[in-house]
Amino acid sequence: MFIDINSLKLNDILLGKYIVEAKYEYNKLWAGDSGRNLAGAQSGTLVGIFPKIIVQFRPLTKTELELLSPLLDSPTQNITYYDPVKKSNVTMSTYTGDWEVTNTNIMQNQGFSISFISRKKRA
Amino acid sequence: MKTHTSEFKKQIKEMGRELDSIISYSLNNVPITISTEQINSVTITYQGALLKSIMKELDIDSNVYIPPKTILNYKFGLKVNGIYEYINYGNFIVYSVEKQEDTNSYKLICYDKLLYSMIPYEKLDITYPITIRNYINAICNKLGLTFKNANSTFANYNRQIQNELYLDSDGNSLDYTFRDVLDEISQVTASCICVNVDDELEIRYFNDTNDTVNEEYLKDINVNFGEKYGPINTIVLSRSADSDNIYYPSTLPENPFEFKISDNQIMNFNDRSDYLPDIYDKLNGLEFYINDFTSTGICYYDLLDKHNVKIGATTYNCLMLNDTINITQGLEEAIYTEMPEETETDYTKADKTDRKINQTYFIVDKQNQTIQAIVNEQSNQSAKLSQFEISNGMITEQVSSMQTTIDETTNAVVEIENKVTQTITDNNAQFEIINSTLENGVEKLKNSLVTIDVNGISVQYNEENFKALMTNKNFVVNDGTYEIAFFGYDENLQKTIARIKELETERVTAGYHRCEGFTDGLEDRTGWFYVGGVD
Repeated sequence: MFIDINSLKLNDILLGKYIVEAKYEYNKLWAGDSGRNLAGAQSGTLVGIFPKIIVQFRPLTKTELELLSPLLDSPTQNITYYDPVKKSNVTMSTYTGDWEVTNTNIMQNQGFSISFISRKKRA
Repeated sequence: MKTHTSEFKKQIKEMGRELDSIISYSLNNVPITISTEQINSVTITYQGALLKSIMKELDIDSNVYIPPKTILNYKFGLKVNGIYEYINYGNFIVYSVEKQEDTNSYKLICYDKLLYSMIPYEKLDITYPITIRNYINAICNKLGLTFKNANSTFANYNRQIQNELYLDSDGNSLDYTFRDVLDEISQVTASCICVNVDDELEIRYFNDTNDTVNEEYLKDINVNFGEKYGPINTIVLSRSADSDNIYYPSTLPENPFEFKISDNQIMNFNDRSDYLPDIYDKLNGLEFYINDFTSTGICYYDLLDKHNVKIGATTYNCLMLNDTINITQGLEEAIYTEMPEETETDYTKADKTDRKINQTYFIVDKQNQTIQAIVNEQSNQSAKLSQFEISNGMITEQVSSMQTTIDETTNAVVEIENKVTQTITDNNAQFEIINSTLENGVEKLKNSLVTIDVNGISVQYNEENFKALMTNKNFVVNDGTYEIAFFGYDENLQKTIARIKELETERVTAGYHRCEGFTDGLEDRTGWFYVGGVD
């Protein structure tokens, strides 16, 4: 939940000033034993809740992109966000999906989105 | 059952259960704990049968290397009301470790401490006779285990083992392991022997849990229930390839359903019927459904737990003998109980005990390497015995009879015996007849002995009094120490001759033959001469 300008952080960088939207997903990962039992009831093991934050960046300047892109390209990052279940800021180790930037003219980027996916289940 | 809460039982079948695993061990005196971060999968399994020793196996796929011979503990956790409740599965010994390069992890195979019994049986530091309980205790001391039932009573705990049964008479191995011996003790005690979570060797009996699981605990595939086994109402002890059986109770039930124990070295002697009541007491009434089903996970049943599985309106009473729990990200448990081997004894040829006046039995004695078959019939005046014995290098058969009679001359009670014995070794065969008669109050023994060996066939009567020997060259008859007759090739004379000393003449109708002396060169000889003519 984006409760204030500083409630979303990528490593040590506050993302609030760079983004126009943040979508918070709390995805359940089910084990392979999930399915219906003999009583017809759905059953299975919940491996855990793996939060995923999809941020929509506004068009970034060259300097801003140079600051952020190494982190977006790194295999893992630390994302700190406010978790309403925990009722506190939570830091999670994440990996990212692919990202792309569209230029419509020289030095004119369009905004882009990227997903930060938790590597471990939420404690 | 393994210790657990009612909430555990409720939660484990629920959608969204959360699992955990903890493995703890010590390396170089440093305690180490690894959890699901380093553990990819765990499989706990045991495969058992009625009246056997049962060992548990733990297979681990781990990102951490744990050296062989490490003793580790495994606990399985389920989140209950926000915190994990753990079931302790006990301690295991890492038996082998394999690196899996494709997954960059280690496959560990571990066994519980019954693994210590998988070594050749050795002489124990005990004196015989010894009680079953003390014998088990001695085995535990030898293996470095604690005996849980060292001070408790169990079936046949105080029966005595009279002598060493698992080594030969010279103390050499008969290829038994301690595990084999524990299997036999399981039969004697009518139990399953296993190692519990506290590393104690335990005499375990059936446990009525009164617990029922329903369809919610079962997967919707591979759920099979077969026929009912039991209820057991008869115990049969068999020896010598099922040829010599005794049974209990002495009054057979109308429809006997037997459990047979075969060729147990401890229950191999003529006191074996003494073991039956305790065994019967433990097994009588045992019944369960044959089953093979896959569960979504129960995890708290233990070996020999009797429990129920309710499907619809049908309730199957089951017995835990085989279990495999597979823990990955999820959980699956396979439980099955096979049909024990069914036997059917011909009770007309079996009996309640070996201790009778008339005995028929067949004994395999592995220690002295003999096989003995005996049929013995006794009455007030007579006894008949037929005996067949195979030992190392010899076969002996004997038929004898003993008769008690009153001598008419002396009015004394006399026992006279007749006996025929045949003995075969690797270099001769002997056949002996002893005949006993009474003459004027004195027992007269007549003894005939025929011996066949590479030297020929000899016949002996009353030992030295009469002897005949036939070889491939000649036939000689001796009376005492001197020759009576000789027919055949004489090595000394290098001639084929007939020689009969002191032979009397005999009249024949075709003429007279007369035995007269004559001189042949320098030698005085005796010969038969035909005179001829008609009398």
